[in-house]
Amino acid sequence: MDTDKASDSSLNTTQLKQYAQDLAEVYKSEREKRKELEAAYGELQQTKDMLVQSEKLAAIGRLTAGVAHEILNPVNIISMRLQLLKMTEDLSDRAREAIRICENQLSRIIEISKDLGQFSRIHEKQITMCDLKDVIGHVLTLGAPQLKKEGITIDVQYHPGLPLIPLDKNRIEQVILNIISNATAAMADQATKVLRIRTKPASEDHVLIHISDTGTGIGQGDITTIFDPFFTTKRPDQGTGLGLFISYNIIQGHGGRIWAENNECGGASFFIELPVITPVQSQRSLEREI
Amino acid sequence: MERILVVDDEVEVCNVLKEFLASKDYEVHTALDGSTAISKLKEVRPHIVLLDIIMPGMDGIDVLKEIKAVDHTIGVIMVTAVADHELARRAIELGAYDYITKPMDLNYLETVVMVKIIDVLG
Repeated sequence: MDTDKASDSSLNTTQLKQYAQDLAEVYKSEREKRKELEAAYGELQQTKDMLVQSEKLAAIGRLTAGVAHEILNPVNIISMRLQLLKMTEDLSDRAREAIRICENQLSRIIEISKDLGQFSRIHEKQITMCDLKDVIGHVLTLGAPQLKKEGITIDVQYHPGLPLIPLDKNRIEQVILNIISNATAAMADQATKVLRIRTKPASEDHVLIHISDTGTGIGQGDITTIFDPFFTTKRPDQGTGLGLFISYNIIQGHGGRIWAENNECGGASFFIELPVITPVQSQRSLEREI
Repeated sequence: MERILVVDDEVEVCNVLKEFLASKDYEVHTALDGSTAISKLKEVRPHIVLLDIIMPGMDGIDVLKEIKAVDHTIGVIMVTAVADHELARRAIELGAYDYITKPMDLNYLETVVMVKIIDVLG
Protein backbone atom coordinates (compact mmCIF):
# COMPACT_ATOMS: atom_id res chain seq x y z
CA MET A 1 0.00 0.00 0.00
CA ASP A 2 2.75 2.33 1.02
CA THR A 3 4.69 1.28 -2.05
CA ASP A 4 1.65 2.05 -4.23
CA LYS A 5 1.29 5.45 -2.61
CA ALA A 6 4.96 6.13 -3.10
CA SER A 7 4.67 5.02 -6.72
CA ASP A 8 1.61 7.28 -7.27
CA SER A 9 3.34 10.17 -5.61
CA SER A 10 6.51 9.59 -7.69
CA LEU A 11 4.41 9.37 -10.86
CA ASN A 12 2.60 12.58 -9.94
CA THR A 13 5.86 14.40 -9.34
CA THR A 14 7.24 13.21 -12.69
CA GLN A 15 4.02 14.22 -14.38
CA LEU A 16 4.06 17.55 -12.67
CA LYS A 17 7.67 18.13 -13.73
CA GLN A 18 6.71 17.20 -17.26
CA TYR A 19 3.70 19.53 -17.13
CA ALA A 20 5.87 22.29 -15.79
CA GLN A 21 8.42 21.67 -18.52
CA ASP A 22 5.70 21.61 -21.18
CA LEU A 23 4.20 24.77 -19.75
CA ALA A 24 7.61 26.46 -19.78
CA GLU A 25 8.05 25.42 -23.43
CA VAL A 26 4.60 26.72 -24.32
CA TYR A 27 5.28 29.94 -22.43
CA LYS A 28 8.66 30.34 -24.16
CA SER A 29 7.13 29.65 -27.54
CA GLU A 30 4.27 32.07 -26.84
CA ARG A 31 6.73 34.71 -25.69
CA GLU A 32 8.75 34.31 -28.90
CA LYS A 33 5.60 34.47 -31.00
CA ARG A 34 4.53 37.56 -29.12
CA LYS A 35 7.92 39.15 -29.74
CA GLU A 36 7.62 38.30 -33.44
CA LEU A 37 4.11 39.74 -33.52
CA GLU A 38 5.26 42.88 -31.73
CA ALA A 39 8.13 43.28 -34.21
CA ALA A 40 5.78 42.75 -37.17
CA TYR A 41 3.30 45.22 -35.65
CA GLY A 42 6.12 47.73 -35.13
CA GLU A 43 7.20 47.35 -38.76
CA LEU A 44 3.60 47.73 -39.95
CA GLN A 45 3.17 50.80 -37.79
CA GLN A 46 6.40 52.24 -39.19
CA THR A 47 5.30 51.54 -42.77
CA LYS A 48 1.90 53.08 -42.03
CA ASP A 49 3.57 56.19 -40.53
CA MET A 50 5.81 56.49 -43.58
CA LEU A 51 2.85 56.15 -45.95
CA VAL A 52 0.85 58.73 -44.02
CA GLN A 53 3.86 61.03 -43.98
CA SER A 54 4.46 60.44 -47.69
CA GLU A 55 0.84 61.26 -48.60
CA LYS A 56 0.78 64.25 -46.26
CA LEU A 57 4.01 65.69 -47.68
CA ALA A 58 2.90 65.09 -51.27
CA ALA A 59 -0.32 67.03 -50.57
CA ILE A 60 1.59 69.81 -48.81
CA GLY A 61 4.04 69.85 -51.71
CA ARG A 62 1.31 70.37 -54.30
CA LEU A 63 -0.30 73.07 -52.19
CA THR A 64 2.89 74.96 -51.41
CA ALA A 65 4.12 74.88 -55.02
CA GLY A 66 0.78 76.35 -56.10
CA VAL A 67 0.92 79.01 -53.40
CA ALA A 68 4.56 79.80 -54.24
CA HIS A 69 3.61 80.30 -57.87
CA GLU A 70 0.66 82.53 -57.01
CA ILE A 71 2.71 84.61 -54.57
CA LEU A 72 5.11 85.53 -57.36
CA ASN A 73 2.44 87.55 -59.17
CA PRO A 74 1.82 90.14 -56.43
CA VAL A 75 5.52 90.07 -55.53
CA ASN A 76 6.30 90.89 -59.16
CA ILE A 77 3.99 93.90 -59.07
CA ILE A 78 5.37 95.19 -55.75
CA SER A 79 8.94 94.67 -56.97
CA MET A 80 8.33 96.59 -60.22
CA ARG A 81 6.56 99.42 -58.36
CA LEU A 82 9.53 99.72 -56.00
CA GLN A 83 11.94 99.78 -58.95
CA LEU A 84 9.89 102.55 -60.58
CA LEU A 85 9.82 104.48 -57.31
CA LYS A 86 13.57 104.17 -56.98
CA MET A 87 13.99 105.77 -60.41
CA THR A 88 12.34 108.95 -59.07
CA GLU A 89 15.06 111.57 -58.75
CA ASP A 90 13.87 113.69 -55.83
CA LEU A 91 13.47 110.90 -53.26
CA SER A 92 14.53 111.63 -49.70
CA ASP A 93 17.21 109.47 -48.05
CA ARG A 94 14.55 108.14 -45.69
CA ALA A 95 12.37 107.02 -48.58
CA ARG A 96 15.34 105.38 -50.33
CA GLU A 97 16.19 103.51 -47.13
CA ALA A 98 12.56 102.35 -46.83
CA ILE A 99 12.65 101.08 -50.44
CA ARG A 100 15.92 99.25 -49.74
CA ILE A 101 14.37 97.50 -46.74
CA CYS A 102 11.25 96.59 -48.72
CA GLU A 103 13.40 95.17 -51.53
CA ASN A 104 15.40 93.07 -49.06
CA GLN A 105 12.22 91.65 -47.55
CA LEU A 106 10.85 90.95 -51.02
CA SER A 107 14.04 89.02 -51.77
CA ARG A 108 13.30 86.83 -48.73
CA ILE A 109 9.81 86.10 -50.05
CA ILE A 110 11.23 85.31 -53.49
CA GLU A 111 13.81 82.92 -52.03
CA ILE A 112 11.13 81.08 -50.04
CA SER A 113 8.89 80.90 -53.14
CA LYS A 114 11.76 79.49 -55.20
CA ASP A 115 12.49 76.88 -52.52
CA LEU A 116 8.84 75.88 -52.29
CA GLY A 117 8.59 75.58 -56.06
CA GLN A 118 11.58 73.24 -56.21
CA PHE A 119 9.67 70.13 -55.28
CA SER A 120 8.23 70.02 -58.81
CA ARG A 121 8.60 66.65 -60.50
CA ILE A 122 11.93 65.41 -61.77
CA HIS A 123 12.12 65.77 -65.54
CA GLU A 124 13.16 62.66 -67.42
CA LYS A 125 15.58 64.60 -69.61
CA GLN A 126 17.59 65.67 -66.55
CA ILE A 127 18.14 62.07 -65.52
CA THR A 128 21.52 60.54 -66.32
CA MET A 129 23.25 57.35 -65.22
CA CYS A 130 25.50 58.33 -62.32
CA ASP A 131 28.10 56.79 -60.07
CA LEU A 132 27.18 57.61 -56.45
CA LYS A 133 30.88 57.88 -55.68
CA ASP A 134 31.18 60.81 -58.13
CA VAL A 135 27.99 62.49 -56.88
CA ILE A 136 28.97 62.30 -53.19
CA GLY A 137 32.59 63.10 -54.02
CA HIS A 138 31.56 66.28 -55.82
CA VAL A 139 29.49 67.44 -52.85
CA LEU A 140 32.36 66.73 -50.44
CA THR A 141 34.77 68.66 -52.66
CA LEU A 142 32.40 71.63 -52.62
CA GLY A 143 31.89 71.40 -48.86
CA ALA A 144 35.51 70.55 -47.94
CA PRO A 145 36.64 74.10 -47.00
CA GLN A 146 33.67 74.58 -44.64
CA LEU A 147 33.99 71.09 -43.11
CA LYS A 148 37.71 71.66 -42.55
CA LYS A 149 37.05 75.07 -40.99
CA GLU A 150 34.55 73.46 -38.59
CA GLY A 151 37.06 70.75 -37.64
CA ILE A 152 34.89 67.92 -38.95
CA THR A 153 36.48 64.56 -39.77
CA ILE A 154 35.06 62.95 -42.90
CA ASP A 155 34.86 59.17 -43.00
CA VAL A 156 33.60 57.91 -46.37
CA GLN A 157 33.37 54.35 -47.61
CA TYR A 158 31.89 53.50 -50.97
CA HIS A 159 30.67 49.96 -51.48
CA PRO A 160 32.65 48.53 -54.41
CA GLY A 161 30.80 47.48 -57.53
CA LEU A 162 27.57 49.44 -57.03
CA PRO A 163 25.74 49.91 -60.33
CA LEU A 164 25.31 53.28 -62.02
CA ILE A 165 21.92 54.69 -61.06
CA PRO A 166 19.57 57.10 -62.85
CA LEU A 167 19.66 60.48 -61.11
CA ASP A 168 19.04 64.15 -61.60
CA LYS A 169 22.60 64.72 -60.41
CA ASN A 170 22.16 68.35 -59.35
CA ARG A 171 19.06 67.56 -57.31
CA ILE A 172 20.66 64.61 -55.50
CA GLU A 173 23.74 66.72 -54.79
CA GLN A 174 21.40 69.33 -53.32
CA VAL A 175 19.92 66.68 -50.98
CA ILE A 176 23.33 65.45 -49.80
CA LEU A 177 24.61 69.00 -49.37
CA ASN A 178 21.55 69.83 -47.31
CA ILE A 179 22.03 66.86 -44.98
CA ILE A 180 25.73 67.66 -44.59
CA SER A 181 24.91 71.31 -43.88
CA ASN A 182 22.44 70.26 -41.15
CA ALA A 183 25.00 67.83 -39.74
CA THR A 184 27.61 70.60 -39.63
CA ALA A 185 25.25 72.85 -37.67
CA ALA A 186 24.31 70.00 -35.29
CA MET A 187 28.01 69.29 -34.54
CA ALA A 188 28.97 72.93 -33.96
CA ASP A 189 29.38 72.61 -30.18
CA GLN A 190 30.35 68.93 -30.01
CA ALA A 191 33.78 67.72 -28.87
CA THR A 192 33.81 64.90 -31.44
CA LYS A 193 32.86 65.90 -34.95
CA VAL A 194 32.65 63.03 -37.41
CA LEU A 195 30.65 62.91 -40.62
CA ARG A 196 30.30 59.31 -41.77
CA ILE A 197 29.06 58.40 -45.24
CA ARG A 198 28.47 54.87 -46.52
CA THR A 199 26.97 53.46 -49.68
CA LYS A 200 25.76 49.89 -50.05
CA PRO A 201 23.18 47.79 -51.88
CA ALA A 202 19.82 47.94 -50.09
CA SER A 203 18.22 45.15 -52.11
CA GLU A 204 18.47 43.69 -55.59
CA ASP A 205 17.15 46.86 -57.16
CA HIS A 206 17.91 49.60 -54.63
CA VAL A 207 21.03 51.25 -53.26
CA LEU A 208 21.40 52.99 -49.92
CA ILE A 209 23.28 56.13 -48.90
CA HIS A 210 23.78 56.38 -45.15
CA ILE A 211 24.95 59.72 -43.74
CA SER A 212 25.48 59.99 -39.99
CA ASP A 213 26.92 62.62 -37.70
CA THR A 214 28.00 62.98 -34.08
CA GLY A 215 25.78 65.99 -33.48
CA THR A 216 23.01 66.52 -30.97
CA GLY A 217 20.57 64.14 -32.69
CA ILE A 218 16.90 64.62 -33.48
CA GLY A 219 14.58 65.59 -30.63
CA GLN A 220 11.95 63.16 -29.33
CA GLY A 221 8.83 63.55 -31.42
CA ASP A 222 10.65 65.36 -34.24
CA ILE A 223 11.51 62.21 -36.22
CA THR A 224 8.14 62.27 -37.95
CA THR A 225 8.04 66.04 -38.51
CA ILE A 226 11.58 66.93 -39.59
CA PHE A 227 10.58 66.59 -43.26
CA ASP A 228 7.62 68.96 -42.86
CA PRO A 229 7.93 72.36 -44.52
CA PHE A 230 9.20 75.12 -42.23
CA PHE A 231 10.39 72.63 -39.60
CA THR A 232 13.59 74.06 -38.18
CA THR A 233 15.57 74.15 -34.97
CA LYS A 234 17.67 77.03 -36.29
CA ARG A 235 17.15 80.76 -35.86
CA PRO A 236 15.03 82.46 -38.58
CA ASP A 237 18.09 84.09 -40.15
CA GLN A 238 19.88 80.73 -40.43
CA GLY A 239 17.45 78.98 -42.73
CA THR A 240 13.88 78.75 -43.93
CA GLY A 241 13.23 75.21 -42.67
CA LEU A 242 12.59 73.99 -46.20
CA GLY A 243 15.79 72.03 -46.83
CA LEU A 244 14.61 68.60 -45.69
CA PHE A 245 11.15 69.13 -47.17
CA ILE A 246 12.76 69.83 -50.55
CA SER A 247 15.10 66.86 -50.07
CA TYR A 248 12.15 64.59 -49.28
CA ASN A 249 10.36 65.64 -52.45
CA ILE A 250 13.47 65.25 -54.60
CA ILE A 251 13.99 61.69 -53.35
CA GLN A 252 10.28 60.90 -53.82
CA GLY A 253 10.61 62.30 -57.36
CA HIS A 254 13.31 59.69 -57.99
CA GLY A 255 11.03 56.92 -56.74
CA GLY A 256 13.17 56.55 -53.60
CA ARG A 257 12.78 56.90 -49.84
CA ILE A 258 14.48 59.07 -47.24
CA TRP A 259 14.20 58.70 -43.49
CA ALA A 260 16.06 59.65 -40.34
CA GLU A 261 16.99 57.99 -37.07
CA ASN A 262 19.12 58.80 -34.07
CA ASN A 263 22.34 56.79 -33.95
CA GLU A 264 24.41 55.16 -31.21
CA CYS A 265 26.77 58.18 -31.08
CA GLY A 266 23.85 60.41 -30.09
CA GLY A 267 23.81 62.06 -33.50
CA ALA A 268 21.45 61.80 -36.46
CA SER A 269 21.55 59.30 -39.30
CA PHE A 270 19.89 59.89 -42.65
CA PHE A 271 19.13 57.05 -45.03
CA ILE A 272 18.47 57.57 -48.73
CA GLU A 273 17.27 54.57 -50.69
CA LEU A 274 17.30 54.98 -54.46
CA PRO A 275 16.07 52.63 -57.18
CA VAL A 276 18.57 51.24 -59.67
CA ILE A 277 16.00 51.83 -62.42
CA THR A 278 13.71 54.86 -62.60
CA PRO A 279 9.96 54.49 -62.07
CA VAL A 280 9.58 55.56 -65.74
CA GLN A 281 11.97 52.82 -66.94
CA SER A 282 10.28 50.35 -64.63
CA GLN A 283 6.85 51.25 -66.04
CA ARG A 284 8.16 50.91 -69.60
CA SER A 285 9.65 47.49 -69.02
CA LEU A 286 6.40 46.47 -67.32
CA GLU A 287 4.45 47.64 -70.37
CA ARG A 288 6.81 45.70 -72.61
CA GLU A 289 6.29 42.58 -70.50
CA ILE A 290 2.52 43.01 -70.74
CA MET B 1 7.76 105.53 -82.18
CA GLU B 2 8.26 101.78 -81.52
CA ARG B 3 5.17 99.95 -80.37
CA ILE B 4 4.93 97.39 -77.60
CA LEU B 5 1.91 95.25 -76.70
CA VAL B 6 1.84 94.03 -73.10
CA VAL B 7 -0.31 90.93 -72.53
CA ASP B 8 -0.99 89.96 -68.92
CA ASP B 9 -4.16 89.01 -67.05
CA GLU B 10 -3.03 91.15 -64.09
CA VAL B 11 -4.17 94.75 -64.56
CA GLU B 12 -1.45 96.05 -62.26
CA VAL B 13 1.28 94.34 -64.28
CA CYS B 14 -0.04 95.99 -67.44
CA ASN B 15 -0.19 99.35 -65.66
CA VAL B 16 3.31 99.29 -64.24
CA LEU B 17 4.89 98.04 -67.49
CA LYS B 18 2.99 100.65 -69.46
CA GLU B 19 4.21 103.39 -67.12
CA PHE B 20 7.81 102.20 -67.27
CA LEU B 21 8.03 101.57 -71.02
CA ALA B 22 6.18 104.80 -71.83
CA SER B 23 8.81 106.65 -69.76
CA LYS B 24 11.37 105.13 -72.15
CA ASP B 25 9.51 106.61 -75.11
CA TYR B 26 7.74 103.51 -76.37
CA GLU B 27 4.11 103.49 -77.48
CA VAL B 28 2.54 100.94 -75.16
CA HIS B 29 -0.73 99.03 -75.58
CA THR B 30 -2.14 96.43 -73.22
CA ALA B 31 -4.37 93.36 -73.38
CA LEU B 32 -5.72 91.39 -70.42
CA ASP B 33 -6.15 88.09 -72.28
CA GLY B 34 -4.96 86.15 -75.29
CA SER B 35 -7.89 86.67 -77.62
CA THR B 36 -7.89 90.46 -77.01
CA ALA B 37 -4.16 90.43 -77.77
CA ILE B 38 -4.72 88.62 -81.10
CA SER B 39 -7.47 91.01 -82.10
CA LYS B 40 -5.21 93.99 -81.29
CA LEU B 41 -2.32 92.74 -83.43
CA LYS B 42 -3.57 94.22 -86.72
CA GLU B 43 -4.69 97.45 -85.09
CA VAL B 44 -1.51 98.07 -83.05
CA ARG B 45 1.08 96.35 -85.31
CA PRO B 46 3.53 95.99 -82.41
CA HIS B 47 7.28 95.59 -82.86
CA ILE B 48 7.43 93.73 -79.55
CA VAL B 49 4.90 91.70 -77.55
CA LEU B 50 5.53 91.10 -73.85
CA LEU B 51 3.57 87.94 -73.19
CA ASP B 52 2.77 86.23 -69.90
CA ILE B 53 2.90 82.44 -70.28
CA ILE B 54 0.33 81.50 -67.66
CA MET B 55 -3.06 83.09 -68.37
CA PRO B 56 -6.58 81.82 -67.98
CA GLY B 57 -8.28 80.82 -71.23
CA MET B 58 -5.85 81.06 -74.14
CA ASP B 59 -2.39 80.64 -72.59
CA GLY B 60 0.82 82.35 -73.66
CA ILE B 61 1.99 79.44 -75.82
CA ASP B 62 -1.24 79.46 -77.87
CA VAL B 63 -1.07 83.24 -78.23
CA LEU B 64 2.58 82.96 -79.34
CA LYS B 65 1.61 80.49 -82.11
CA GLU B 66 -1.14 82.86 -83.31
CA ILE B 67 1.20 85.88 -83.28
CA LYS B 68 3.83 84.00 -85.28
CA ALA B 69 1.14 82.91 -87.75
CA VAL B 70 0.02 86.55 -88.23
CA ASP B 71 3.51 88.09 -88.43
CA HIS B 72 6.64 86.11 -87.68
CA THR B 73 8.79 89.26 -87.49
CA ILE B 74 7.13 90.44 -84.27
CA GLY B 75 9.54 89.95 -81.39
CA VAL B 76 7.81 88.04 -78.62
CA ILE B 77 9.31 88.16 -75.13
CA MET B 78 7.74 85.64 -72.79
CA VAL B 79 7.26 86.39 -69.10
CA THR B 80 7.33 83.41 -66.79
CA ALA B 81 7.42 82.43 -63.15
CA VAL B 82 10.68 80.88 -61.97
CA ALA B 83 9.28 77.34 -62.01
CA ASP B 84 8.28 77.47 -65.68
CA HIS B 85 11.69 77.16 -67.34
CA GLU B 86 10.61 74.10 -69.32
CA LEU B 87 7.64 76.00 -70.71
CA ALA B 88 9.85 78.96 -71.53
CA ARG B 89 12.27 76.73 -73.46
CA ARG B 90 9.34 75.39 -75.43
CA ALA B 91 8.32 78.97 -76.23
CA ILE B 92 11.80 79.69 -77.59
CA GLU B 93 11.51 76.59 -79.81
CA LEU B 94 8.21 78.00 -81.09
CA GLY B 95 9.85 81.27 -82.10
CA ALA B 96 9.83 83.48 -78.99
CA TYR B 97 12.78 85.88 -78.95
CA ASP B 98 13.55 85.59 -75.25
CA TYR B 99 11.98 85.03 -71.88
CA ILE B 100 12.27 86.86 -68.61
CA THR B 101 11.38 85.58 -65.19
CA LYS B 102 9.28 87.06 -62.43
CA PRO B 103 9.92 89.20 -60.53
CA MET B 104 10.98 91.28 -63.50
CA ASP B 105 14.10 93.40 -63.41
CA LEU B 106 13.04 96.55 -65.25
CA ASN B 107 16.59 97.47 -66.30
CA TYR B 108 17.05 94.01 -67.81
CA LEU B 109 13.66 94.27 -69.51
CA GLU B 110 14.65 97.62 -71.04
CA THR B 111 17.86 96.09 -72.42
CA VAL B 112 16.11 93.04 -73.92
CA VAL B 113 13.43 95.24 -75.52
CA MET B 114 16.02 97.66 -76.90
CA VAL B 115 18.16 94.90 -78.42
CA LYS B 116 15.14 93.29 -80.09
CA ILE B 117 13.87 96.66 -81.40
CA ILE B 118 17.27 97.30 -83.01
CA ASP B 119 17.10 93.80 -84.49
CA VAL B 120 13.53 94.26 -85.82
CA LEU B 121 14.20 97.68 -87.31
CA GLY B 122 17.44 96.44 -88.85
